[in-house]
Amino acid sequence: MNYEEVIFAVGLVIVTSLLAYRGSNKFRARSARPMSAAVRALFDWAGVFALFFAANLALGAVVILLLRGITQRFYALYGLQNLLLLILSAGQAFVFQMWWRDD
Amino acid sequence: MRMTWERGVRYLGVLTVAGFFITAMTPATNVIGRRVAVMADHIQPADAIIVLAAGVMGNGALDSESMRRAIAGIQFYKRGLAPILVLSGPGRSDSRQPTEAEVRAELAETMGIPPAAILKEETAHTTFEESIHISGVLHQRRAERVLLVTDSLHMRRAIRVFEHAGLNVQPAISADYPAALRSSADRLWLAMRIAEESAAMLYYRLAGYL
Repeated sequence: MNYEEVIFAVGLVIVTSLLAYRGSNKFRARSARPMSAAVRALFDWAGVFALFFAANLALGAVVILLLRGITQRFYALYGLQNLLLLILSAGQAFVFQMWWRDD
Repeated sequence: MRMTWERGVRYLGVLTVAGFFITAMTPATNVIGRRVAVMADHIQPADAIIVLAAGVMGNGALDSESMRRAIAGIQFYKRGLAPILVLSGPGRSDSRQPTEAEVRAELAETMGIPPAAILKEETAHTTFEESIHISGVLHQRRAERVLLVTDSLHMRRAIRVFEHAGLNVQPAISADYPAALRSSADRLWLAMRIAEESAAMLYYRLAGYL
């Protein structure tokens, strides 16, 4: 198992997070939200992302199967194996979450 | 209503984040993969070797999985395990390059396999279609016992459809990803392949292919 890779990646994130915290803490607006609210926002975004990603995959599968039935052309379900769909779903979730929540 | 939605989404988010870390950073994905995968026992001689399609790129080059399967099939032939090598794989609809089966056949001939021993299947787009087309050709040649070459995750579904098509199937693994992949990125890819293969299995069951 590649523990070194995991420790290295997590270590980098911890170091840059601490640097960002120390560097920006005194410049933060007084009304800025606390860290606990930011972590909750991360979980909220992750939940909405999971829903949008599942919905996009399900709709994509239905569209591909319909196209296969309607047209003579073959459309592969592997077309859903698409990094762009993952990134767009993440962005879609972020925009939805910002629009939906009130704070 | 709003509170319930927000709480539900947050719980789902916690599960998503936890799932991401468990998938990427622990061997859980490999353990699940091993349950989905089919491994080959000692391989016995057969009437034909079937190399299932995996994909060809727009420039006509085999993708890495397709190459792995083709090389494994060629090795089995060279070991004298069967007199017929069936190479499967259609062309891309967005390209005028040769089909995957043609590219593989050229590779096999370059590696010393006689053209008369090679059968190409160039029209099937799915594992189910491959099972129907290839079993039809092999039944005509009275070839019933086959070595099926694909990766270990795809193998379970592939065996089921080829057996359903009336062939006596022995698995011959081209790659065993659950045993081989260890990095975080590889494990995320492995999780996606497991999800994909599980969904495909469910679809094949619902469609009555198995």
